[in-house]
Amino acid sequence: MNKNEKMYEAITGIEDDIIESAGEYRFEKRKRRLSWVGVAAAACLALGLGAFGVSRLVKSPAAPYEAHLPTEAPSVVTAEPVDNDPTFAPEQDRIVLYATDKTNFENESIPNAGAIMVSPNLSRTIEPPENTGNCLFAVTIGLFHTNDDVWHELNVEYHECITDPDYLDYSDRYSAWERENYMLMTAEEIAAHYGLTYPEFDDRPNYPTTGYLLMHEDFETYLKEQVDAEEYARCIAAQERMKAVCDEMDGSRTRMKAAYNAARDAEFERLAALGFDVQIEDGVLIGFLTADQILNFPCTEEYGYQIIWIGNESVMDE
Amino acid sequence: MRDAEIVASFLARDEQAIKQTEMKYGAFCRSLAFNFLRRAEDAEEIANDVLLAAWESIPPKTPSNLKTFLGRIVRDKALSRYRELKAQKRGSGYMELLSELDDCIPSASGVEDAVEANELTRFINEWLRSLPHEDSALFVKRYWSGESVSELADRLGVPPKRLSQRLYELRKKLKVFLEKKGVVL
Repeated sequence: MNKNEKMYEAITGIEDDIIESAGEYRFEKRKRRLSWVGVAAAACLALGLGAFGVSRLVKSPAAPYEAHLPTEAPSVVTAEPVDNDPTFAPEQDRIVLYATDKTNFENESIPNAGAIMVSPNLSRTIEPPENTGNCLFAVTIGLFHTNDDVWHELNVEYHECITDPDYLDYSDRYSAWERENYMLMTAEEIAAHYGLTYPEFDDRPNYPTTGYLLMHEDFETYLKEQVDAEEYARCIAAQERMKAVCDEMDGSRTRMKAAYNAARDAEFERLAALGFDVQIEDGVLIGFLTADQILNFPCTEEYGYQIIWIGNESVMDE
Repeated sequence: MRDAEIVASFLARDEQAIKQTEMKYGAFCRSLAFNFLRRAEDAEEIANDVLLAAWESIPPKTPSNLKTFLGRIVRDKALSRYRELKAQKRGSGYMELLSELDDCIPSASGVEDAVEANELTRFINEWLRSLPHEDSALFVKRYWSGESVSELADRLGVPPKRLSQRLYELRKKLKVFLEKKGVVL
C-alpha cells in the first residue's frame, strides 16, 4: 500500500459523527459575479459578430455556460471534442457539442428502473429551446439495474453453498488446519513459507489469489489423509461450488458482465431502431442526441438510465 | 425501517436485512461508488458487493451508524476496483483524489516507524474537529464521499479553481498538523 492509499485508508476511518455532521451541513451559497469574458462573449453573439466561433466558445471555460451556446446553427462545423475524446470527431454538417469545463454531475440519486438522470449542466443547457438549434450532444448512456436478476440468483446460490453441510465440513476443517499450522505466523511469514513475497502471495485483484490457491492445495492434500474418499469428494465438490459463486461475485463476474453487455447491446439496437445516432465504443454506449431526444428519452421499465455529457466525466486516459 | 431494526435483522440472520438495506441505502452506496469510479457498471456491482459484505460482517460487528459503516465498505471495495482498472489502463475519479492526498503526507524525518492507519485516523479526527464546520464538511465531502470539486464549487457558488485552492490549503494544513504530531507514513 503506498502512502496515498494509506492516507485514503485512514480517511475511511473518520468518526461517524464527523461524517454525519458533514453530510448534514448545508453550504451557504456565495453569489457569483459575471466574468468580463462571459459578458463580452454574450454581447458578441447578440450582435451576430461571427468572430466568436463555437470552438472558441467551447475553449473559454471561464465564461458562464450560457455564453458557449450558439443562438443559431453556424454554417460551418467548428465544434471540437475537448481533452481526451479524439475518437468523437464531428462529421461535416453536424454540430456536436461537448461539455466545456469539467463540471461533474450531482449523482446523489442513482436512477431506479424506468427512471432517468441527466447530468445537471446538460439539463440546464437543453431546457431552453432557443439554446440548442440543430446541435447534437455527445453523451454516454449508462444503464443501471442490469444485474438485478443475476444478483438475486447469486444470493440464492451463495446461501445454498454456505448452508451446505459438506461445505461447512470443509470450511471447519480448513479453519482448524490453518489455526494449527499458521496461527502464530504473520501474513508475510506465511507468504515466505511458500517462497513468495506478500504482494505475490496476496495478489489481489486476482481471485482467487495465489496464496489462497497454494494454501487450499496444501490443505486438500492433508484432508485426503483425514477422511474417506467419499467424504473427501463431497467436501471438494462443495468447495468448488462456493469458489464458483465467489468468483462470480468477486472475481471474473462473467455473468454480471454478460448481463450488462447484453443489456447494453439490446439498448443499442432499440435506440438505433428508433432513429437515435448511437454506437458502442470501448464497451460504452455512446449517443449523439438532440435536445429533444434527451428530454423525451424513451426509457424502458427494465433499467435506470444515466446520460452524461462527454467531457464531464473525470475518467482520465493514461 | 430504522437502522437499529435493520442491524437487528442482520444479527438474527434474517435475509430481510439485505432487502431493507438495499431499499434504504442502495442509492447511497451506488452514488458513493460512482463518485470514485465514474462507471455505472462498476458502481452497481460494488453496491451489490457491499450488501454481501454487510451480511458477512454483521455479526460480529454491530455498527451504531449503518450508513457510514456501509460507506466504509464502499470505499474499500472501490479502492480494490480502482486497482483493477488501473491495471487495465483505465482511469477513474480515484486517480485525481489520490493524487490530491499527496499534499497531506507529512515529510519523513528521522527513522521513526511508520504510523498505523488507526493512529493516523485518530490524528485526522482531531484535526477535523479543530476546523470551522464548513472546512471540516468540505474536507469530508471531497475526501471521504469523493464528491467532485466542480460539484462542491457549484453548491458553494464559487468558481472551481477557487475551491481547488481552498482544498489545497486545507491539505497543507493537515500536512503541517501531522508533521507537528511527528507522524511518518
